[in-house]
Amino acid sequence: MEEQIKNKILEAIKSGAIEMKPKWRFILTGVLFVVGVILILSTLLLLTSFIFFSVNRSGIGFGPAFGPRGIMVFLKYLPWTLIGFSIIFVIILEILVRHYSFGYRKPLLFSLVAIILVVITGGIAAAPLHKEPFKRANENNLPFAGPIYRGFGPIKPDPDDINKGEIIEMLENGFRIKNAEEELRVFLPEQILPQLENDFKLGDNVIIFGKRNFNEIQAFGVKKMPT
Amino acid sequence: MVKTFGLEALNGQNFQSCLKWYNNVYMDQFVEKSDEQIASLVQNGDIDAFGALVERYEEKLKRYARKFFRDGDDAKDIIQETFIKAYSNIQGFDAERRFSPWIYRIAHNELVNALKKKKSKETVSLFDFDVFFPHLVAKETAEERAKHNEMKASLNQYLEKINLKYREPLVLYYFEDMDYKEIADVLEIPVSTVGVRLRRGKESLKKLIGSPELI
Repeated sequence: MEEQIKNKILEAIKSGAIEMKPKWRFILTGVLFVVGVILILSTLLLLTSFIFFSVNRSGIGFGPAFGPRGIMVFLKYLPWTLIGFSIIFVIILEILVRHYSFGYRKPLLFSLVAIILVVITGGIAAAPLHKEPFKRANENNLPFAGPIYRGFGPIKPDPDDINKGEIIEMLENGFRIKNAEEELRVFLPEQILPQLENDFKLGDNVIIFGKRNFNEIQAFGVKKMPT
Repeated sequence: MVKTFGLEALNGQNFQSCLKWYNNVYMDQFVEKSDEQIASLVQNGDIDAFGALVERYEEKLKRYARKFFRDGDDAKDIIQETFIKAYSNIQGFDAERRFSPWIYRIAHNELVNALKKKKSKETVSLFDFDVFFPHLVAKETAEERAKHNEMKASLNQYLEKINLKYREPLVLYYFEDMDYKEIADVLEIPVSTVGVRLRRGKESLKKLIGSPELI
């Protein structure tokens, strides 16, 4: 009985009914896997660095520093589509990594955290690289990536939540700002007022979080924009 | 040399005796070789060396498959398909690694496919939370090692009643004598999860037989 399976298989092999897949197929699969991992990791780094760049540029990243209202504004304007794509790519990368013994032998949480850490660190480090392409995209001088930069790059918060501008006049309870479209009067919260003169001066570019009423803003958070 | 005898031309008793001789003489050369060395020979085109691997693993895989399929034909199909896939994919085997977890991995996949085909209630879920979090793995104590055979006997009796998720690590550990790392490679799960599943499997067994001393 025991001989049966062995003989059957050996006969099938010798008759050519069972064929050995060539080595190059496995090498090719291995190479494709590695290329896949590299491609997905690169795409992920590109996406996350772009997200960090957009968040920095729009100033919404300051939101969480201004308490629950700031957090709500921050969450409202996060580029969720890009974040969604990033999550999908993280999942694909995790699936690919778990194909290897160094991936599946450790708990999924470890490899997931490792991927997220690499992606976030890489994303933060690479974010400034988007500055120049973004500038060129806005000048219509970036052939392929231009539409992507113009489409996803600028986060445009509602003026009812966030406003930006240059300080043109210092007032007792705030200041007046001017941007490309209009002039606005900003009323600062009481806790900021004592530092008003120390922290802000004429010509500063600021971002203001607060409810707007016509041309006046009752701010709950103000921050100088990085130059 | 052996191939020149023209085995196909022999019939009945002559064929059987010739086959026996062939097995004794030809297969003897593999006795001293490790599975990995034989697998290397197969990779280099030695078809008969594959026969030696089949010989080494047929009984083991049969025993493994029968822990999940009572029907001998089902188990036989699984083993046959395992060997066919092993031969087809042998070039993908890394001879620097151990052969045993590699072939058991193929058998495991065949088993899962067979369960799916049979639309069995026992299926292996794609995702399990016990692979997500790290777990502390308690090493087997001397007392547990001493109870190894006792455990094996109890498992033989109650194995079918234990959830497939826990049954498979138990089978690989107690019947196929694999360590945690090898089981992790067969099931492609974290090493710590192997420990958790073994512990839970033993707890299930404890409930089934109502004997706390065994665990």
